Amino acid sequence: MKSSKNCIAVFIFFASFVSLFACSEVSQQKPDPAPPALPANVVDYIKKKPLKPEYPRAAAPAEVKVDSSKDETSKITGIKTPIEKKYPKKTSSSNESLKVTFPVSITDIDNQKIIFDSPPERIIAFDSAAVETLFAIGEGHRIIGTHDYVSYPPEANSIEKVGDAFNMDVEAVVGLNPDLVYLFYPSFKEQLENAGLKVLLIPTMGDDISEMADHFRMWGRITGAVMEANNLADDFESRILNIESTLAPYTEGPSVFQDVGGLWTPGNDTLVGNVFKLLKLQNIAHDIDGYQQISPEVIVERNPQYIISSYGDTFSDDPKYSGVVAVKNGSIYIPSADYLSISGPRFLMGVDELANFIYPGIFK
Amino acid sequence: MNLQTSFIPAYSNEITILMTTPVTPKNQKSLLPWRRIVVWIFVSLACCVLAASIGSVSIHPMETIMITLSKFPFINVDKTWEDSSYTILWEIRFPRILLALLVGASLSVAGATYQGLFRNPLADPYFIGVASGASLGATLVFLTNVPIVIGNFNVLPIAAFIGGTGAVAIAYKISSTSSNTKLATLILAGIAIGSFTTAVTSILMIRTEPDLRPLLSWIMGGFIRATWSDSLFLLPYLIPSILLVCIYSRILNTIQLDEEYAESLGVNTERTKKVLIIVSTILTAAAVSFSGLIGFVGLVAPHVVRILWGGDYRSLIPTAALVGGSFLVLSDLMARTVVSPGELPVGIITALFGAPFFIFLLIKNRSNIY
Repeated sequence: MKSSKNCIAVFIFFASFVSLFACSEVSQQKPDPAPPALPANVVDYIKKKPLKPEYPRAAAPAEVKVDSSKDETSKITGIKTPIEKKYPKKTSSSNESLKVTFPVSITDIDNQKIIFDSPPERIIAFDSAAVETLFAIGEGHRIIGTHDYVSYPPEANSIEKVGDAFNMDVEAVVGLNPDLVYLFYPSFKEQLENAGLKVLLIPTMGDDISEMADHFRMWGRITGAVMEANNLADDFESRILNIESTLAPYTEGPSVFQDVGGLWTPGNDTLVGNVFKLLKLQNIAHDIDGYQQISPEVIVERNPQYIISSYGDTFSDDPKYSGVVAVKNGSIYIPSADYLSISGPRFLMGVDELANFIYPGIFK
Repeated sequence: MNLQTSFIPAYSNEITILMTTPVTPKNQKSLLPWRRIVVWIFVSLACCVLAASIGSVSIHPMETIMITLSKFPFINVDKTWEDSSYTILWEIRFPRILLALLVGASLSVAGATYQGLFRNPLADPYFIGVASGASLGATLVFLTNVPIVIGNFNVLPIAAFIGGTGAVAIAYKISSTSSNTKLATLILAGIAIGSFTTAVTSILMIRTEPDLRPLLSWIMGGFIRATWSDSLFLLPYLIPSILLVCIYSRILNTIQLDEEYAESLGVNTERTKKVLIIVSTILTAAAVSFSGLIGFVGLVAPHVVRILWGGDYRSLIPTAALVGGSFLVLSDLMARTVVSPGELPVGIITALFGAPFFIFLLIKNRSNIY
């Protein structure tokens, strides 16, 4: 009698597996969630910029565009006038607007206004992208502290390190007596503010590529190097526009799968997912949220034409993937450096490298 | 040797003994409950068939059957299936299922052996430092610039295996004198070495590049990398080790009473300890090196068998192997289908669904265990 009860218990247990599986089948068919709307406060500081739409864009012959916007040949030249709704010229610099008038007000992620009466001289930039940006606009000398993983530009190696990316040495930060601490995640904000420091918290690693240019401009306003920052941002935006217009004739690019290690892969709502969209690549992991491990079965079934393997080629010798088009064609791309993980000025180098691998000879 | 079995019931009532239920006359009649083992072999097969027919990519059952049949000798099947279905089934699902079965079986056997040897219900395969040693080995491979695959040679499992067996070897060396090994010292030494290697692993993790996802998913365990060669590599470790533990299961029964008592019955306890520790460590380290740290199976599968069918190690070892194997096959099925097309680490599934079931068994049987 006892053992029969136990048998029933075991049966119920295994049956629950099957039923749970059945549930999962249903949940698979749920519609893709809409991409999260950009929080207004993130881009708030840009709206304060003076708008000057007359700024000439780099190498954009307007006549060509008007005459032959539908002509095939103009598409191949790869130069199209950058008139796109997506990247309006929010900010442009004529000589007039190159000087910023302090105090400057920057809105952080919590909708707090951070007021700068003068450019900060002792910045602790706890973020690779911010350090790269500051050096790119010639204001790197203001940085007195950063974290262990910041390794670019070479000058950054001599900056004092105050913790690794996820563990800030708050005592060391306070001891350096900074007049601005820049953070991209909130863990240490309260502690630092309680110590009487000025903290600016803005996440740089959003999933929107165009936000990066806004960050460059923000640093320009904070440090007073508005012209350099605007040049950097405008160059960044025009390069994106160049990519967009070059790829305009292509309705659908090849399918792609990126392995960032252990079959972890970015979905569509990530920064890399947006790079794929920019390059018109069909991400085979389009139905994955954020970063997730993907099932090898799905890779075989969706059969990507290109594989981006961040940490060396683990696909070519694997019998599982011998039938995948990317492996058959040898279309496995191993990035030369991890540009796409830092949303700084070098980000587009990663995009360009990828674009040139997939569309050889198209980009100038 | 016949004396042993008759002594156990007599003494188990007098001494408080963990995990020994009296050997009933029924057990004495037939040495092994063959019927239960045969039933569980079929249950395991059924789990494998279920796992083969479901996946994140749906393959028609007919295709599945045809592809499987085509692999049997002397059966000619016309090729009517897609190449991708064949690859998914033969190169991805089957190796995964086999690996999950083998790993589940070996972790359960190792767990049961440690529980018996240390007479401690908390013992699991990772009890004396295998897990943390293996993690250290794997972490060193992930975080240094050693390529994970050199040619056809996969470095990761080798490093994990060396780390796991190395940690236990050190603990064993610490606890053994020339004449004997103190099990209590072995446990403490194992825990100390485990804590130390875990600390080293953590330092390495926070002091190096921040992309820890591949490493963390290895630590949480899974079969996403499974290939045929993994399983074939494991088989020569697992099958002899499990058979060896089965041979020693009689002696494990005697050790449940007392070491000195077992010695008085003519058991060479020192040799037994040595053999069982080496065998279980090899079982665990081999399993861990290919699948990462899958928790809970090795702790709970032996207990489930013990609660349901009694603590005689002669039947407990083979039954626990089959139960643990089937449980892990089903857990892996869940891991790869619940968030399809994504995957979850299988260690999450084993605890998430195994723990409530185990608690249910504990409540149901709380009056008559231990």
